[in-house]
Amino acid sequence: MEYDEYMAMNTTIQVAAEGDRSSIQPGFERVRHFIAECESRFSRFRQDSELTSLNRSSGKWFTASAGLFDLIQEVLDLHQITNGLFDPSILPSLMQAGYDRSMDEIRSSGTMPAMNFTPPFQSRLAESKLDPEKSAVYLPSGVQIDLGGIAKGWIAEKATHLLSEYTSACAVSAGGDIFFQGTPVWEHGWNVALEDPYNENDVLAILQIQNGAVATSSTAKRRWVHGDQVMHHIIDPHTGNPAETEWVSVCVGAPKATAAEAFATALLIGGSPAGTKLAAKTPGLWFIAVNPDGSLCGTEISKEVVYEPV
Amino acid sequence: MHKLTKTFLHLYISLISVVAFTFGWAFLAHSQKPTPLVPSQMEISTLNQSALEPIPSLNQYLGQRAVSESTFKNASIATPRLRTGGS
Repeated sequence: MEYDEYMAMNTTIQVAAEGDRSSIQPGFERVRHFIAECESRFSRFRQDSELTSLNRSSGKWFTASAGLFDLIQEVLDLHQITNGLFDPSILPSLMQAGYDRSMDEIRSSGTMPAMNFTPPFQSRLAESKLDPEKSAVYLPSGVQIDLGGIAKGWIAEKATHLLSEYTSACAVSAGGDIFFQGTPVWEHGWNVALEDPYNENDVLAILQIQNGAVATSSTAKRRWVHGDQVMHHIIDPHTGNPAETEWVSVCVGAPKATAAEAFATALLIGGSPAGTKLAAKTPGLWFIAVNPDGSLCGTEISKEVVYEPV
Repeated sequence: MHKLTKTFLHLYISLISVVAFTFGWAFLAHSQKPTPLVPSQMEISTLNQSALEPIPSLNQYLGQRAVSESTFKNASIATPRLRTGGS
């Protein structure tokens, strides 16, 4: 198995492919180029990105590239399927909570002053419209979106498809959002370490995945101090504030990486009542949640993906 | 006579072997293949998604040891290079 690892999109990219290096290297190069191009297009921290242009055009129709149009279409579908728990239009609340720069910049700047008010959040994402013939997107006036998490899933999946032209088995991870294609020879699946949310060097379980995607959302990552409060990036769309969650992290498996990412966020916010309902009505979905004491729970099928060392 | 019997036995054994192989191959080729468990492809109706259950962690498998890189080395388990934990 050959690997290519580097930092992009403020996170770690891991690319794995089976075969000899010389035949896979052009695929690795192509994936690097694709990810760099996507980062410049979907970042909300770049003033010249396509996403920033879309956010500036809220209230008007915006002609999007095929990639952005496809991603927004998936966002709107997943917003509806998760009953609004997945909502990237929480961007104003996220910025209000202090996540207004990249995480690297926030961490290097230390504590930020507290804001005196929290604007009420009322999502209007469902009022967005798409025109497939013109590849145009309409965001209601004032609506701004953050594609951070779901873009990573989308990019991982598309990059894996690109890489599959060079190998029979490959996987691409964008910050732990991983898409798999093909199974390595002599293996039952791809082994993936489920990290302890409190200490990323420790492993809670080894998952054995055969295809599709996994993604994990956690309130323990991307934390910062805002005034006298510890904030995190999982915003509850019902309140507009960082979510108070039953679990510390949720790992989701789904046939598509965008779905895995959206459901990981939705289940983390919704907790067990909403989680079991959403899982029950969504074919192909499994999840493993990490309780505050570090123990794991999930639906019956989730046990099947946990590797049992002999 | 002895040579004829020997030749006949050789032919008989060869023929039986070929026939047995052919029958075995045909039987296996047409029997139902074992399907690897692919959770993402399983029918939702066959799954119990109604309740949450405890999932055994690696700690439990390895006897309550903290599961760090050194534990992997001690337990002779390959540390998966791909990791997920939230970004």
